[in-house]
Amino acid sequence: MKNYRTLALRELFAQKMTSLLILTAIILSTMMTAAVGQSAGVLAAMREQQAIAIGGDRYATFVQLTEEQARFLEQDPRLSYAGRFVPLGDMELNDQLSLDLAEYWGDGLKTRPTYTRLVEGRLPETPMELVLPEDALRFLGFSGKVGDKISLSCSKALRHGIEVDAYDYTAEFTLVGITESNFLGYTGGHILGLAGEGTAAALLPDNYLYYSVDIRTTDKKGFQTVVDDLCAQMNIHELDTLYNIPLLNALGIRYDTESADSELTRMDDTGFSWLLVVGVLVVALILLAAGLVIYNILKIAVSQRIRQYGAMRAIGAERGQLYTVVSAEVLLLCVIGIPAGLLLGWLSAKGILNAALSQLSPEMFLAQDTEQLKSMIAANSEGQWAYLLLSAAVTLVFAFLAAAPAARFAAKVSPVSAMSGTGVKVKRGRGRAKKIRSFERHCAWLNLRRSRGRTVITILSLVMSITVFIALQGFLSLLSVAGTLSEHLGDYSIVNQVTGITPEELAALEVDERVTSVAAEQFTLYELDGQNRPVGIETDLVLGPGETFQIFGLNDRWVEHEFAGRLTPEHLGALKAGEGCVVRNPIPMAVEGVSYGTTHVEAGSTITIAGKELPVLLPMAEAVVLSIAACLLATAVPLRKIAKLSIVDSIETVE
Amino acid sequence: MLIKAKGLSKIYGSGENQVVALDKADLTIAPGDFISIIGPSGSGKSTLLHLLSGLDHPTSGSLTYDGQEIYTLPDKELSAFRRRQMGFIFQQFNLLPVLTARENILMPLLLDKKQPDEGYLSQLAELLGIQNRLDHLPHELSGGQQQRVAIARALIARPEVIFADEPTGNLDSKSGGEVMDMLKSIRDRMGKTLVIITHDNRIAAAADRRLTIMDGVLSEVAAG
Repeated sequence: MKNYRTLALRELFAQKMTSLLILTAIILSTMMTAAVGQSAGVLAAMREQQAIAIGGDRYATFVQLTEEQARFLEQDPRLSYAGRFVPLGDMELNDQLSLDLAEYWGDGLKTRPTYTRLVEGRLPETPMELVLPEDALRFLGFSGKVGDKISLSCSKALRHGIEVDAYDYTAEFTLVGITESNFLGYTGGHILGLAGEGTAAALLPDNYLYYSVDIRTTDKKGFQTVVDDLCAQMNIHELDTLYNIPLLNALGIRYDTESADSELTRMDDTGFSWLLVVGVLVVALILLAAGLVIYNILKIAVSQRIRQYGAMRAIGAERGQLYTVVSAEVLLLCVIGIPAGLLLGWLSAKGILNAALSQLSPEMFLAQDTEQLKSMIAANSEGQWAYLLLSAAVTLVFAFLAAAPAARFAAKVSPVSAMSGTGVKVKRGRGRAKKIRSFERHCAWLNLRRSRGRTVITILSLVMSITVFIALQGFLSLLSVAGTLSEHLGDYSIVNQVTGITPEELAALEVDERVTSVAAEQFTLYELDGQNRPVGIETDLVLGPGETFQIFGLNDRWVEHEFAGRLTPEHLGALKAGEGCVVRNPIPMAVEGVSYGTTHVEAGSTITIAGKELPVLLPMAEAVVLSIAACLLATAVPLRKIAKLSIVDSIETVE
Repeated sequence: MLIKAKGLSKIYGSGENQVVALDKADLTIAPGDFISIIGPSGSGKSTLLHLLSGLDHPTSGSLTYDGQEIYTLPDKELSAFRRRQMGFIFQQFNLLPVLTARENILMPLLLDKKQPDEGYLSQLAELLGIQNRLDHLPHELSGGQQQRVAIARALIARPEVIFADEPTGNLDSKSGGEVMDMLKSIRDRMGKTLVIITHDNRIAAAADRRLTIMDGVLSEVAAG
C-alpha cells in the first residue's frame, strides 16, 4: 500500500452491501441524467434541423433591396453569409395556391434544403432554366418531362408603392429538374419554383428588378444590433426585414420580438423549450432522490466505522485526510458508476425520447407527423458529447454534495469519544415517564427521535419517490392531448372551403371499414335583400336590418353529439329526419339608439324554408360564439337539398 | 523531549452535574522516563493520558513539549506532531480492520506522506515476533499478536514518546507478560520515553516513576 487513500478501496470491498447500494444509486441517477442530456442534445439538433428545413438556413432576410444595397450587404464583414435571390413573381395555380418563382445566386440554394430535393434532372444554372416541384407540375397540368419547354404567366408586384401596378409577363422556360413536393408552403399558399441565375435580368424591366438577401451574422449574440444597424445604414423599412424565427429560437439568438415580422411566427415550436424544462425538472428530482440515498447510506456506514476514524485521528491523521478517505469511497464508486450510467443513459435516450414525444403533437416540434418525428430523432441520435459530459459532471457534483456531510462527520470526530465507544451524545427530554405499552415501539420511537436528521431524510426519501411517481403519472395524463379535444368529434378534421366534399364521397367515407363514424356539417350564409329577406333561398322569414341568415346542416352523428341531451327522443328523431329545426336567435342590442337583432323565433312555431315547413324545436339560449346580428338555424334537412358551399367533416378512425 | 504539564483540569458538565475528571494535575516528564500511572477505574487516568498526548483539550491548564505549546497548535500541525513524535497503544488495540498488519503498521508513515521504511518494519516485526503474520488481517490474529502489531505501529515513525493506555488490559496474563517485556526492552534499547496507564500493580511497579491518581488528583509515589 503506497497511499493512505487506498484505505477507501479496502473499505468499499469490506462493506459490499453499502458499496453496491451507493453504486446503484449513482448508476441510475447518471443514467437518467444522461438520458435527459442526450435527449436535450437530440432535441436541440432536431430543432435546428427542422428550422432550417422549414425556413431555410438563414437568420433573417431583407427584401425589396436595390443593387446597391444588396452589394453593400454582401460585403459587410459582420455577416458570415449574405446570399442574394430575386423573386420573379408568382402565378396563380388555383384558388388557394400560387407558384412563386425565385432565382438564387451563387450557393444560395444550399440554404433551402427542403426545396432542392431532386427527383429528376438537376438544379438550374443558366438564365431561363427552371426547376419545379412535382405538385406544381400537377397543378399546371404539365405532361412533359425534363428538358421540355414550359410556359408560365407570372405577375411581379412590389411592396409599399414603389411601383403601383404589377408587371405581368409570359415566358418560356426550360424545365431542367423536378424536385420533391413540399407541403410546407401550403399554409401560406405558396409553392416555390427555382430559376437559373440571370433569369430576372432577362425577364424583368429595370424598375421591377429588386433583390432579397438572406443573411447570417458571424456573431450570434450581436444579431439584433447588426440588423438594426444595417437597417439604419441602408434605410431598410421595418416591413422589409423578415426574421426566421424558428431558427433564431433554435440557436438561442436574441431578437427584438416586436419588430420581428415573419410568416413563420404562426409555427408553434414551443414544444422544444417546454420539453427541456420538463427534462430539467425530472433530472432535479432524480438527483435529489439519489443524493438522499447516498447521504443516508454513507452516513450510516461512517457511523459504524467511527471507532476506526477515532483511532486514525489518534495516530495523527488530519481532519482533511479523513474527509478525503470518505470522499474517495464515493469517488471510486463514481468512477465505475458514472461511465456505466452514461452508457445506459445514452442507449436508452432514444427509447425515452420516442416515448415522451409520442405523447405530444408533432407540430410542437415542427414535424408533420409522428413518423417524421421518429426519423428526426433517429437521424440526430449520435452521441451528444457536450450534453453527456455535462450530465456526468452534474451527477458527480451531486454525489459529492451528498457524501460531504458523512465525510465531515468522520473528519470532525473526537478521537477520545469515538474510541471509547460513547459516540453519539443522546439527549432525552425529561418528560414524565409514561407507561410503556410496547417496548419495541418505545425503542423505535426513541431511535427516531435520537437522530432527527436521519429520520427526516428517510421520510424525505419516501416522500420523494412517491412524488416522482405521482408527478410522472400526472405529466403523462397532462400530456395526453385528448383532453383538449373535447370540442372535436373525431381524430381528424377536414375542412374544404373551395371544392367541398360531395355526398357520394361522404357516403363512401361512412362505409369505409377503417372509419368508425363520420360527423359532417354544412354551412351556408345568406345576405339580406332590401326587404330584409334572405337572398338565394325561399323562406317565410323576415329578419331585421344588419342580420344574416345562416344555415348549418348536420348529419346524424353530429346531431347526436350536439343535441342528444337537450331534445326529447321524439324531437331528436324529428330533427334527424329533417322534420324540425333548432334556432338560435340574434342577440338583441341597441347601438346609437337603433335597435338590432330584433328577430325572434319562438319554440313551437313553424318556419318555412325552401318550401318545407319546419317546426322550431328548441331555441338555443347560450351563445357559444358571440355573433352579432345573426340568425342561426340548425336542421338535419338532407344535405343534398341545400345549395352546396362548404362541408366540414370529422372522422373517427378505427385505431 | 521534555514534557511539562501545568494545572491540567478536565471538568464535564456544570453546576450540580459537574464531574471533575482531572483536578489541576502538574507533571514533568524528562526524556527517557518510564512512567506508570495507576488508579481505579473512573479515576481519570485515561483523561490524563489523552490530555498529555494532545488528543483532548483541557478545561484549563497548559502543556509544552520542549517549550512548544501543544494546545494552541492548529489541528493540522498537532496531527503532524502526533504522527512524528508520539506513539499510541490502546487497550482495545484499535487496528483498522480492513488493512493487513503490515498496512496497519505503516499507516502513520503513509499519513505523513513518507515512503514506507521496509527495513525498519522487518526489524520491528522480528523484535516483536510477528514477522510471519504481517499479511494477515487483524481478526486473523490473536489478541497478543494484535497488540504487538499496535506496538509496531506506535514505533514505526520513530517517535520519542510512547503512550500506552492499559496495554495488557485485554490480554491473558501470558500475552500480557510478553507485551510488557517487549515494551520494557524497546524502551531500554531505543531510549524512548514511556508512559503507561494501568490498574495492574505489577506492571506499575516495573516503571521508574510511579504516579497514582484518585478522583482526579494526581500524586507521585516516591521511588525506592
